[in-house]
Amino acid sequence: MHAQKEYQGSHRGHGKLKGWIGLAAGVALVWVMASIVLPWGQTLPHIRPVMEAIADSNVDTGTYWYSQCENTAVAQMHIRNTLRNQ
Amino acid sequence: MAEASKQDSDIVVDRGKWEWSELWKKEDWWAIWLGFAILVVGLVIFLPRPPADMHEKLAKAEATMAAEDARAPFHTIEWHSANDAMSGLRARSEPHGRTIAKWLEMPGRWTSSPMESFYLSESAAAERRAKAEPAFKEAQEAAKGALERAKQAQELAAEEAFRNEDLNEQAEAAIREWRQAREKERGSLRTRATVQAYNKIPYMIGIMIIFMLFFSIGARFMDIGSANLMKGFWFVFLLAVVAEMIGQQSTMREYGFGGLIWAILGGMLISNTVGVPNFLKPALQTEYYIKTGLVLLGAEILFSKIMLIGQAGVVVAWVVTPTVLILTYIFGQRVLKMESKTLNITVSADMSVCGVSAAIATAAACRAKKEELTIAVGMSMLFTAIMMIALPTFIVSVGMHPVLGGAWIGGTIDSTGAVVAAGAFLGEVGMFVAATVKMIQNILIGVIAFGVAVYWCARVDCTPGQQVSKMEIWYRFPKFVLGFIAASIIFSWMLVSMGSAGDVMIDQGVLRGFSRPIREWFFILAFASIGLSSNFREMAHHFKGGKPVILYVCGQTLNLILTLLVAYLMYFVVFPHVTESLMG
Repeated sequence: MHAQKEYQGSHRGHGKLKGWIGLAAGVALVWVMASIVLPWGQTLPHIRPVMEAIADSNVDTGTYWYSQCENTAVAQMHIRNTLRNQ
Repeated sequence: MAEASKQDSDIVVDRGKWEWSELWKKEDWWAIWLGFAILVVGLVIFLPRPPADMHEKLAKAEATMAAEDARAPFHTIEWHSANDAMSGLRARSEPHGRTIAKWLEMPGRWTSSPMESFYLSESAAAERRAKAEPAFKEAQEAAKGALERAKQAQELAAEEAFRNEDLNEQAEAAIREWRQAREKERGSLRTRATVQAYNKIPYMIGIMIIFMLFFSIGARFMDIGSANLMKGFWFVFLLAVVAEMIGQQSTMREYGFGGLIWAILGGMLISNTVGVPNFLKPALQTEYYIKTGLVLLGAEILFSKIMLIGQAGVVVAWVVTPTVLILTYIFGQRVLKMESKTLNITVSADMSVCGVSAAIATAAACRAKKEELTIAVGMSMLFTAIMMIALPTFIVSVGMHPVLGGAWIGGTIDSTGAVVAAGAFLGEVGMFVAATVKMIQNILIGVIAFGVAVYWCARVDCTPGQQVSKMEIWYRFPKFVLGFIAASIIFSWMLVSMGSAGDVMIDQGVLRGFSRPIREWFFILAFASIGLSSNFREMAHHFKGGKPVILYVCGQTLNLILTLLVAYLMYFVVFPHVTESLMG
């Protein structure tokens, strides 16, 4: 009984350690992506011009809805005023 | 039994009977009450405080633009200046709007030090300003010079009463150069050269407490319990903040991998490795957060925007999109034989309408599983990053017309930010067309969510051959959709009835200045909850055979072909005068 408890305890401890190692590995993967893989991708000849244009325009490309992006309001005003007298 | 109960906990549930107590016991109704409470508070704050001389300024700008339209066959410098003045009028730029923005602000942009997302000292800000100043001054000088040249060219054209085609073209080209120089001056250079010190941490702690108390009101009446929700809420909020911080890292931001995806991945990483402690579980109220956010999103579905770019835009955004959605859904059911109809419709809506927001609204309307929403959002972000680079590169390399290229980008790339970024690569007109088509497409999700909710209640959530009564549809109907639609109708009506002032007070006041930042917080809290309550195995099960990816790729291919074809027909065959006006 005592031996079984000891085994269960060490098994649980082993599982916990495995969990923390998994978490650390996941965080490390994100770090590698953010600091090595994606910046390298930005230097590729076909990607670089678009990425430079994005950086210059200061657009947050992660915005998923029109009201989160300032440019939509500017675009709306311009288009409406352009087509107002059509 | 255990399996059934597990399945129930994964989906948005409404049972086939009506009880009045649902009004205070169900999260659908609490989403409506809380969502409308926020909207009312927003109206009370913003409507009585318009910018000084708003009506006079709007009337003056409109009169100038009308006079310039009559004077010259192209947009003159005065026309652009009046248009800029109109764009600059915003209720949220008033002192009360700026105070609210400070409280609701999310972690900011950073490059190498994550701390800059929350805190920037005065000395660090001064250092940044000094570093950016030479380039900014150069850009300012360039814009000033371009304006002088544009003025001279316009004067020469005006001396000939704008009847000399060559002089008109020279003036137009000079004005275009000035706009480009001005755009450059106002982009990232100005942001860097005018950066101020900030400390967002106290505001974030404050807003966390406010949101915690806010959601605990409903939790008290539902089965959750206020104290239970409060115990774990801080962790969900913390995960949301960290996720948003990662999404704001400059490289991530440029690729479009925003906070939502990091909230899901971070949550999943935690729940599938070290696990989620029990005290956190009552705070993982995905449906509660997401539905309250969706009611707020409803207010941003402003139907008056549909006709912004004329009938051509309506056809591109409102005819092609539902066609692609329906065909992709049928393809998923009949050809790919996808087991889960909810995954099929969520991926179809996400791919054909507007990415993440459409996935959220559709998944909630058809009661999709959390893992299904995660798959749809993940694929959308990945393909958006690819298309954001590939599409403008292709358009420029084949020399496609910017109006056609803009409409193609607006109709096919999922998220608005990526559409604007890709459109900007085509120049100002391309970006304007792309952003406007996407905005019209965004509005479509109100109709799609309502249609999917009704279709699911009447046709999908019943045994084959069963006749469903109207009352049964009502029992099963996800009630938060009513709040979503009501908010849309009320705010659309308000915007129209206020005329030009509606944009200043409603769009650029109550919505962009108050309900939108709150809604962004609610969605990221929901996604952190999704991540913390999802598991990899369930996800792998849905990915079996790669069917969601095949569905997305095939649907997007159809979308690309159909949108390009219809955009060409609309802007170059049926309504060529619209294209001419946009280029003027």
